Amino acid sequence: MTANRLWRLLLLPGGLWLLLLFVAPFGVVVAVSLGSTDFIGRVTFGWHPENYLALLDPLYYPLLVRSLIYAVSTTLLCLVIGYPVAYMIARFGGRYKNLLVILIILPWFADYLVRIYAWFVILGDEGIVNGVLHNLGLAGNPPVIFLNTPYAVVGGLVYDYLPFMILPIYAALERMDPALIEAGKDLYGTPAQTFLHVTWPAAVQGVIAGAVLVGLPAVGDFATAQILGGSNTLMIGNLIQDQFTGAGDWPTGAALTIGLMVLLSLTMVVYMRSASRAPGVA
Amino acid sequence: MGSEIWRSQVNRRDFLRGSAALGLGGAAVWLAAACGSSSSAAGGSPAPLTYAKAQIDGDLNLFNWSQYMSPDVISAFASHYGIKVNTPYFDNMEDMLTKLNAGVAYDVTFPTMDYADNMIKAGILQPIDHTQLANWSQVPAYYNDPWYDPKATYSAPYALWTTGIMWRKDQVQGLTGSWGDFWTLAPQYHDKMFLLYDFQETLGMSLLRLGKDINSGNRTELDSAVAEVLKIKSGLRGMETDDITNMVNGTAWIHHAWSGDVYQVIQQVSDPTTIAYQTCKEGVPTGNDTMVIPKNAQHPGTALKFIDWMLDPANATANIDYFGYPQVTTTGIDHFAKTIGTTYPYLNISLDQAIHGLREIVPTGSKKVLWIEEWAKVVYG
Repeated sequence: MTANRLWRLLLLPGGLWLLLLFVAPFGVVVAVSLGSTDFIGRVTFGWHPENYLALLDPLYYPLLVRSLIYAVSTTLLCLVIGYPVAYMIARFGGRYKNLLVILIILPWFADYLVRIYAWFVILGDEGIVNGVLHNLGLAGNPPVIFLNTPYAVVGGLVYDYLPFMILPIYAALERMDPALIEAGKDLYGTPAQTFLHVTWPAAVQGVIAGAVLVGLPAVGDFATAQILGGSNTLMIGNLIQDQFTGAGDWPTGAALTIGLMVLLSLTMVVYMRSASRAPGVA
Repeated sequence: MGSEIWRSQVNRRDFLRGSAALGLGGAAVWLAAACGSSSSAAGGSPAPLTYAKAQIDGDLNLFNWSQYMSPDVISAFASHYGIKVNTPYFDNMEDMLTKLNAGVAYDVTFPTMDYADNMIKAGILQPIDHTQLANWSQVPAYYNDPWYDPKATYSAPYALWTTGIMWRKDQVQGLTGSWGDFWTLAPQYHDKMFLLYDFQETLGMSLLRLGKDINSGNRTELDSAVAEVLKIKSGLRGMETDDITNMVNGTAWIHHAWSGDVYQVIQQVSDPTTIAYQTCKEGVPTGNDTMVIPKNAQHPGTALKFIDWMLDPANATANIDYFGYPQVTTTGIDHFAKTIGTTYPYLNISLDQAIHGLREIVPTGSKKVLWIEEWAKVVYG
């Protein structure tokens, strides 16, 4: 009983945090989504549920589809790149494990926008990569166009979210007893069989967690598409941001925000269901 | 992993429900306060104007486009009065208004004339007492009573601009002094071409090319202007307002652009002779920016001092040499014509052109809804 009360007390700071910085602003977003604007864009609160009709505007469907394609591609690429990294660190990192994990997070100590702008310099038409290609005689005039393409956007997203895939997979694999793999081999399992029946089941919870941590923010990301993308790579996040800063239409922006949140929350619920149903990890 | 955290001993759902109730309550209080303040601000009341005193009353929050004012002139102001100047930037006019409407306190900001017009009508600006500004005599006669601000009660003029097409002479041939050049050159240079991410400029440009009013409120005309832009859009490299960066780093060879930015590109590229600019025969959007003090400014005294600082002949001259636009003061117009305007005649803008030229007027009410709707088709189509 006292332990329980202590837990409740410990929840207070976090709870206040949620209250002040999530729940209250969320209430404001809901209120704005039902409001209207005057001739210079100031919000007047009211009851305009018709703002939510924006969610049904066929003009936006291609954006939603594109966002989902980018997010799924990002998640898969992060998995393909991240899984071997996590596996190598967990199995063969030895006493350098923690150092290697820190090295993976290290670039994230610098601001995200700064790092994205670095790509801008590296991949520009007269940037570093094109300079090297030019000197090697591989590309001249016109240069290879990297920026403002879907590849630049997905590449930027992968670059940004990769640690969120590596870390949970690492955490899952690190807890796996390596003796299990030895046992698989001792029982004449092929490497493929051992992977399928031993390693993968141990990693799958980490993979699912990584997919959620990468996929959900990637759907709503706007800065990457804004900086590395062009006019034909806009994502749903750009649409929402543009309602606020480009169109001066807060209510529509807020309604779209709520729509996206509902969509992502449903995905989250599906994940939590599957996570709680999945067999416990060793 | 992961699933344990959702099964804590404390009933998380009840906890969240409780905080949600509190949160919505808090939001309601905030909303009530916001409603109250916005209703009192609406409409210009005939009450006598109260002026701030032009004396330093704190650090300055200066809210401007990026690269739109000489950093040296700003830091000279800061050190002269022993204060700090913060310089946040906006991306476009709606972005600026969004942040002002959100209640962020800026001391001086820079709306275009048509946005200044609306901001004055909305009652969100402070009046400026000309008698307290030592350099007000620098403001040309017309701008003592411009169309957007009777008796220049709420604004001082800042810079003049035209909108046209900037291009790389060493890479691109075939410009003819027409907005149609975007369409004729698109097949060949599509990966190197940018339009401005600005609904007034891009829809206006397309309307002009079709021989229509730049401020058309006619849906059919706007529909065809949009359809025309969409013909070249899929091949465009992008729609952005940072024409300076795109031209300087070589991403753009053809850019829908603002006149003074051309001068900044010329300053920043290794070979300035490769840069050219044209205004277009179907119509040259022209106008001026203004310096205004929002009603909720925390340091209106410093703001007035700063506006006076920018009107000062020596400072205006130094500023023009940096940012490449004629500042609307007697000295500024004269200095620009003799220097940049002489070297690059295509960047010249006369006062007469600025006053009687083609104005973009930001739409309001149902016309704004129409324009935003049409713009969305361009952006997301």
